[in-house]
Amino acid sequence: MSGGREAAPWLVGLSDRLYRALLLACPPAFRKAYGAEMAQVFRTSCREAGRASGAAGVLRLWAPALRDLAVTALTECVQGGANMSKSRMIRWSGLLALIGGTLWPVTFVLIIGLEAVGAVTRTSTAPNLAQSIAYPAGWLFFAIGLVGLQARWTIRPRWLGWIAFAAALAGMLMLLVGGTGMGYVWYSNAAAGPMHQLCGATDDCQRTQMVEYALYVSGFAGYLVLGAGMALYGLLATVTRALPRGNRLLLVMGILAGTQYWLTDMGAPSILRNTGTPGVIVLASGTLLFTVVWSVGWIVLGRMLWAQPAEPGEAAGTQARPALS
Amino acid sequence: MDTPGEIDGLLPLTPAVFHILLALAGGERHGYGIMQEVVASTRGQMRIGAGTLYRSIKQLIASRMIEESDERPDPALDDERRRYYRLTDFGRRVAQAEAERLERLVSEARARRLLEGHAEGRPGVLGGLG
Repeated sequence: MSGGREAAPWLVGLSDRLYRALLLACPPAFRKAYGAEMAQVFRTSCREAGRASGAAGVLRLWAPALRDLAVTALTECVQGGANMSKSRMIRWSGLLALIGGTLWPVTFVLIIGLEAVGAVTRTSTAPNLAQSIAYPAGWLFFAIGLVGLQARWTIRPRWLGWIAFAAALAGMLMLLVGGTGMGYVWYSNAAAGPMHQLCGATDDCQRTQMVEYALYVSGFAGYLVLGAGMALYGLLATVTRALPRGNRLLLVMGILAGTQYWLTDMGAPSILRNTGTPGVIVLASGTLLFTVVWSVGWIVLGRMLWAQPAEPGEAAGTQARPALS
Repeated sequence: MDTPGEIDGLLPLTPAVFHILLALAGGERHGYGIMQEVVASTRGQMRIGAGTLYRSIKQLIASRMIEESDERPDPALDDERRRYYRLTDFGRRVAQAEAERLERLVSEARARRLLEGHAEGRPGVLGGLG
């Protein structure tokens, strides 16, 4: 081996082949995109070092090259794994949101249909049980869908987007807890009779009633929190055009969610509750409008999340690039 | 269209990224050319490995700060076709913002007499980054 200032073509060739073999440590996507260029750069570095300093120059390149390659392989593997997990999570959140958006109207139509043909009545166990399951399940799926939206698209300014997201998520969780709790209470009452008729002034009874009331409040105040958060989220998305489509839909969904607080048993103005049929029609229409828009909205958003490819940054770095000729 | 907030959100740049942008500010280059330019501009104090270089290029393309130009041989090297990269307008604005940030830092250092005795032309803070 020459130690003088001579080119070392055999060592350059060997280094090139060895470096290409070591590139296998990098994730396939990164290797496909940039492996050829990395090998070319290293080969050129070896050739220039060989011309300048002979074999010793080529060998001196190896220590920093190995360190650089190890860091690159590790970083890309970790990042690739995280990105893949994130992409998968986003797609599945979209699917669950889509299922949630379908669950409510299907359950509603099914119950109405069965009541219409006399198969069940409003006090039957089956439809109420179905509602008790579908309602909170829907909120859970919508909450997951919201997380997917937040993970997929950046709502700016970031700090305000996060506040809006947190409020909307908190509202959904309040509705989930309240809905689940009230469903359980109903189911228990259906078997044992209404609590307020069975229990007297005992401490246990009063504590139970307080829990019931807390669930009841959560189940409706959640609409207020959700509405505020979702409306702000939708407003920011609309102004910044954060989503490819559906920005205004988010805003409308938030506004309607907020109005639900005023149209439910707890918040409905007494003028509506006390005007008989017209008031009932307004309340029912408002709730129906919210349910339809909310469900359709999440079907649209869920499909968007499910169909989205990886984030642009990830796609740019991992798509197949034509090899250098 | 980028906003000042969008650029500020990207700062500070890592030394490797900033030097790549600096190298491309002088014109489009291929990967080895970028490495050579970085060594030259830092007077040998900073050397970027191929892995670090292409990880950074991947991020810069994703961030729209650079873009691929074309493939052609470099007459100064050999007959191999090499992929060239160039700075985008957005990348130039980001590089300018980072340079301004560093300039403010150097001014602060001078104000606190940390750079007393450093004559013009000697390797300064910017050249020693990385």
